Order: sequence, then structure tokens, then C-alpha cells
Amino acid sequence: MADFAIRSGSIDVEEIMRHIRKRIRDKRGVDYTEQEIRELANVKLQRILDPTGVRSDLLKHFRERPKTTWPENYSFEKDTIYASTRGVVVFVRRLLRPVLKLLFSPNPLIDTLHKQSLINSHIEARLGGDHDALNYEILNNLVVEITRLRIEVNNLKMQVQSVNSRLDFDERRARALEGLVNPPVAATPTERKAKPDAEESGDGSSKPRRRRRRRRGTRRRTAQDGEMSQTAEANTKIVETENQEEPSPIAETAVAGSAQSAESSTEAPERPEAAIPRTPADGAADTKIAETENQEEPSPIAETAASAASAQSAESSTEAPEHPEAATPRTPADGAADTPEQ
Amino acid sequence: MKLAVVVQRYGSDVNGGAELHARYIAEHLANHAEVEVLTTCARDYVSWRNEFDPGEDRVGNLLVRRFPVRHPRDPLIFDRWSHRVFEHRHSVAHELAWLESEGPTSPQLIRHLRRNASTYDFFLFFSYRYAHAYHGCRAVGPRAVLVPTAERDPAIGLSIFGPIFRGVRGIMYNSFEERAMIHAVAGNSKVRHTVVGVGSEIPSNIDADRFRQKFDIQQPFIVYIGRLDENKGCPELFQFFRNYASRVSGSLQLVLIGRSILQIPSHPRIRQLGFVSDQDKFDALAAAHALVMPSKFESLSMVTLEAWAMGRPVLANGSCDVLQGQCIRSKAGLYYKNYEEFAETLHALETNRPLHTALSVNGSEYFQRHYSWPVIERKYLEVLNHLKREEAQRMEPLPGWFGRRRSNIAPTRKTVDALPTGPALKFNRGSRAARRG
Repeated sequence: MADFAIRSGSIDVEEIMRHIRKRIRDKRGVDYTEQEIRELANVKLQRILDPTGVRSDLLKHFRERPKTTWPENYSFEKDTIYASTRGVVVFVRRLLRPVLKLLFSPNPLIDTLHKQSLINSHIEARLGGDHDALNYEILNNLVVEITRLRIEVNNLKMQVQSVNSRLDFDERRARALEGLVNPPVAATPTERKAKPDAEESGDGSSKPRRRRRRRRGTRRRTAQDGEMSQTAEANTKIVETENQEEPSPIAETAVAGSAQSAESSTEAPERPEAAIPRTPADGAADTKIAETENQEEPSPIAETAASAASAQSAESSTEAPEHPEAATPRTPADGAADTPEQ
Repeated sequence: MKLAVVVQRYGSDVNGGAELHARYIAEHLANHAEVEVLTTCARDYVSWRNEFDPGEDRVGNLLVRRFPVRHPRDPLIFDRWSHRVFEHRHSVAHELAWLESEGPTSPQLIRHLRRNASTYDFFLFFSYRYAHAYHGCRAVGPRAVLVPTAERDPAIGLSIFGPIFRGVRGIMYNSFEERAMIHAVAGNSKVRHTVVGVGSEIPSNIDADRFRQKFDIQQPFIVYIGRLDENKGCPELFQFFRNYASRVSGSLQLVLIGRSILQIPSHPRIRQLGFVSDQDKFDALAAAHALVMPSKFESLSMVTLEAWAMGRPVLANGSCDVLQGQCIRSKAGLYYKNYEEFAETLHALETNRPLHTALSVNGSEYFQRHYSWPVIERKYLEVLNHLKREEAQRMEPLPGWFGRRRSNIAPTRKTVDALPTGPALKFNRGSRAARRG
């Protein structure tokens, strides 16, 4: 990433947009293709339409419905309006046909009625023979939609799990950082030096213990009250640490709510990227990323910024952008894609 | 060389895109040729009411001849005709009725053009879709040069404009996308043309702090400049920005500049300033973090060019081919097509300082290279000088009485939907070839 530097001439807006779209796709988790959804839907459909299944009488029920009776269709051909059972009449009509055509043109009428008879036949066929097939199609479509929704629900469940695991980790990290900010007094080098002196003096063996107990007690009380200065200081550090992780801009309210409740004590920023459906791999990746914390890979643009900033000047490095997609799992291909496009 | 700029409205206080474009071009070409402006007495582009006095007038150093509009636009009739020609099979007569209902119809202006055509070398007609340009181009024939300012709307598919695009002497396109669209719809690639656009009048004393103090804006902000209208994509912008403000950014504001014809949502981080002076507009651009341009229908977007002139990156609606193409060619802007892209691109602009700087530098360079006034003037003069040496062709006549009434034209929306989409990025080579040809 270090050699990815932004120079005005080297910017490729299309490339940046490709990166952005790829990141959005990655954050969405698994994008099922239409064909995959169809395949999944077919599996479910067979189960539902199995005669031994729960709804075995579904098709039967449809088939046994009383059929609508339609008036019989007519056939209308070119000579139908001139037809008669009597040959003479037919002959006279044929003879007078030019006279009739002088008065009006019967052709559009014949054409329309002919077409109408065809339409009637077609509709009759559709409503009669293919009725069950139509219902089957409707059922099929319903199942497709249900399957699609199931997939979406699964994605959301995985996403909630991922957020839960992240919250757990944050809590653990908060406790660990608290411990770092207030280390046990006995562990400090100055006290390690002081301890042997006290032991040598003979009467000081109980004093350090008493002090330690008092401090532990204080810490417990502080943690409970949440108002003492040491805890506040620790919280501030946690906030600072967490603020190094820039939230991704694709914010989602649903998950942000649960995240906020857990983080509200430290007033840490929301993690808006969480609501986009995520794969199970995301959870693991998130955990790893969270463990390494500051080794997270930034977004393509953020990487660009960070590397360019470090390459350019100390001042710009201080203004390097924060890393918005800290928890987004990235593939090695991302890194390759991020590398220079001079 | 004597030139006439023919435009639907003209005045120092008329700030529509095409009208301002025409004014800038007229004022700058006046340095190289004798220029007159021929226009109507209308000030309002919706009603075309006669508000200026007819006759001669002076705006700046230019002589302006104004002609009255015969009748104001009736929105109901116009809507009815629009529906007829855009959505149904129709005839040439229907399209002419649509044009008449759109206006501005000024028979006196057309009569003046017809009678005095020989006294001018060329007529520069602005905005192909209005009655003055259609009838004017037919009146002056081989002296007509068109600045179409065309957007991707159903009007471009009307069959009556095909002969105009094919019959004028030259066409000054605003963008490569506009040219690709008109070539596709009219098959007029043989007509001499160039992609030129327009420059801008950048004030010399621009002060970002002055703007911040005047309007009491201390937080970083992105700015939208233009009419606050549904057609400009403003409702979508408001929705996207509210989401962005609540979920991503803690401080970025959206500042809106321009007249509003829709309800602005009440939000602590959306500020509407209304119509401001040019000085304030440029101060705002200087103070802004970026310009946002949510419109899906633009033939050029002058304010985008002005933002680049001021060294500000642009966040544009990628659904507009022109804006997307401009962002890619200039390397000075990002674009979005949905909220996710809006959020990511805006976040990148907000937080990524080197990216922001690089886009800004590119924008400034792009403007200087393609849209500075010497470049624009040179392109116009080159085309006009070429046209003086070339032979003119006759414009195709309208069909006869029966032909005009035959309802055999497909709905124009279908025609426009079938046109190729996307930014026209490989057209530089094509344009040179066309010019040579």
C-alpha cells in the first residue's frame, strides 16, 4: 500500500468508483444470484408439493373447484355473414354483395368478429385446461418469494450474531484497557523496590497489604459508581482508542441501536456498517480484526489517503483519514486491487 | 463578422442555464465580432408573459432587440400535448402543436429573422426545444448555428427536430454525451460541430471567511447551488443527506443556494440560504468542502464547472450521463447512483484529504484547459470561420398537409429509452475526425 500515492494526474475516478462498489458488495455479504435463488426455491417447492407433505391436498382442492360454465364459442369466417342453408339465398347474396359494399364495408366487421372468436377460444383454453398450471405457477412464485425472504432473514440473523460477538469483544477490551490504565500498585517498579525495605524493617509487612486492599476496594467502588476520576480517565482512553476506528458510512439504524446501548457508557461512535447482511465468515473475520485492532486495513480510499499522507508530509499524515470500514473483512484481492494505478 | 444570438429570454437578471450561457457567449464573442441579441419580451420561462418592453434595449455593451410573445403558455394544454406526443403514437401536426403550446411563440421575431437574415453572417440559436429556435432555424436556413443545450428528456425524440439537427450549419455541443445522444437520435454526425461548453465569470475577490461570517456557518459543509426542484433531484438529496448525517458524519452540513419550489425538510444540518448574489455564490463555493449535484438531467451544469474553477470537487448523480462523463474526464469528481454510493463517496470526500486535494487540483486544471474563455472563444471562432468557407445545404422541408397528419410516429419516450446510455468517454478521437471530415 505504501507505493499507492495520489497524484492529481494519477487519479482514476472509475477505478475509485469500482473500489467503492466492491466494498459495498463485500459489506452486503452474500449476494445470491437470481439463478441461485431459483434453485433454492425449487428445492423448497418439491417439499411443499410432496403428496405426503403437510399440504398434500392443495392441488386436489384446486382441481375440485366447480368449473365456470361459459357460453359456447362461435366460429366466424370470411363468408359467415353471407352463409345460409338455402343455396338460392346464398347465390342472391353473392350477387348483391357489390351493392352491399357500396353502402358500407363489411370487411372490418368480419375481421373484428373473426379475431374476437379466436380470442374467445384462446381465453377459454387458458381458463380451462391450464387452470391448474396457473395456480401451480402462483404457488411457485410465492415459494420463490418466501425463500428470498428466508435468505434475507438468515443474513440478518448472522449479522446480529456478528454484532453481538463484536459487542462482547468490546466489553472485554474495555475491561482490559481499564486494567491497563489502573495497573496493580504492587506491580510498579517503585513499589517493587520499596517492598524489600519494608520487609527488612520488620514492622512494615502489614502496611503494603492494607494499602493494596484499600485500593482494590476503591476500584470496586469506582467501577460500581462509575463516577470516580480513574474510571473516567480509563473510559476516555477507550473512547480515544475506539475513535481510531472510523465507522463505515453505510450506516444502518437497526443494529446501531443495539450497539449504541452497549457503547453508550463510553460514548463510543456508532458502528453503522453492521446492518448490511454478512456471511458467517464475517464474524470470525471481525473477531480477528478486532483483536489486531490497529492493524486493520483501511478502505481503498482511506488507504490511499493514509499512504499518500505518510509519503507526503508529517502534517498530512496527522490529517490522514480515519479508517471507516474497520470491521469489514477484506480479501487478499483487495490489497492487490489497492496497489498502484499510476 | 456580424452575429446574432437568438435566445428565448435575455437580461442581466435572467439566470436560467441556457440563458446565462447565451449571455456569456454573446458578451465574449463581442470582443471578436459585431454581436446583437434577438430575444422575446419574456422574463419567466414558465408563462412567457411579456414583461420587457418590445424594441431595442442595451444590456451591458450589447444591443438587444426584443419581440413580444403572442400568447403565454397554458400549462394544461401544454401538459396535454406533452402526454400525447411523449406517450402515444402521434403525427407531425401533433408535435407542431406541442411546440406551439410550449412557446415562446413570437411571429414578429421569426419575421425579423426571415427579413434580415442576409444582414447577419450567422445566427446562434440557443435551446433547440423552444419555438423560437425551431422556427428561427427554418427561417434563416444556412446561417443557423445551434447550441442545443439538450438533456435526456422525451422532447429530444420528437421527429420535428431531426431535420433541424441535420439542417443547421453547425452545432456547438455542451458535452460529449449530448453529442452522442443527438447523433443517435438524428443521425447528424456529418454536420460540422464541436464540443465546447461555456466558461464562467469568476470574481477576483473571493473570500470563504466572508461567506462563513455572513451566513454564520462554522462547520464544514457541502453546497448545492441551483433551483430547489424535484426535477433537479433535490428530494433524493435531502433523504440521502439526512441518512448520512444521522448515521455517518457528525458535523457535515448541507447548504442550499437557490430559489425553492419545494418544501425543504427541517433538519439542523440543512441550511437554506435562498437566492444569493454571484459574489456570495462563489464565496460559498470557496468555503464549501464540495459541491453536490443531484440532478439527473443536465446538458452541462455550469455550476459544476464553476466548482471546478474554484478548486472544489464535485459529488454528482451518476444517473446523469453528462455529469458522470464530466467527472471521469476531469478526474475531479465522484458520482453515486444510490444511498450506499452516496454515503461512501461523500465519506471519502469528507475524510480523505489527499483524495480531496487531488480532485480539487484536477478540477481546477480541467476548467482552465477546457472552459477558460480564450479556449471557448477560439472554438467558436474556428467553427464560424470554417462555416464561412463551406457550402451550405438545404434543410429538409416539412412533410405535406397529409404527411403531417399521419399518425405514424412512435411515442417519443420509447425513442429516447432506446438511445444509448452512459458516459461517452471515447469520443475525443471521434470529434476530431468529424471536424476534419
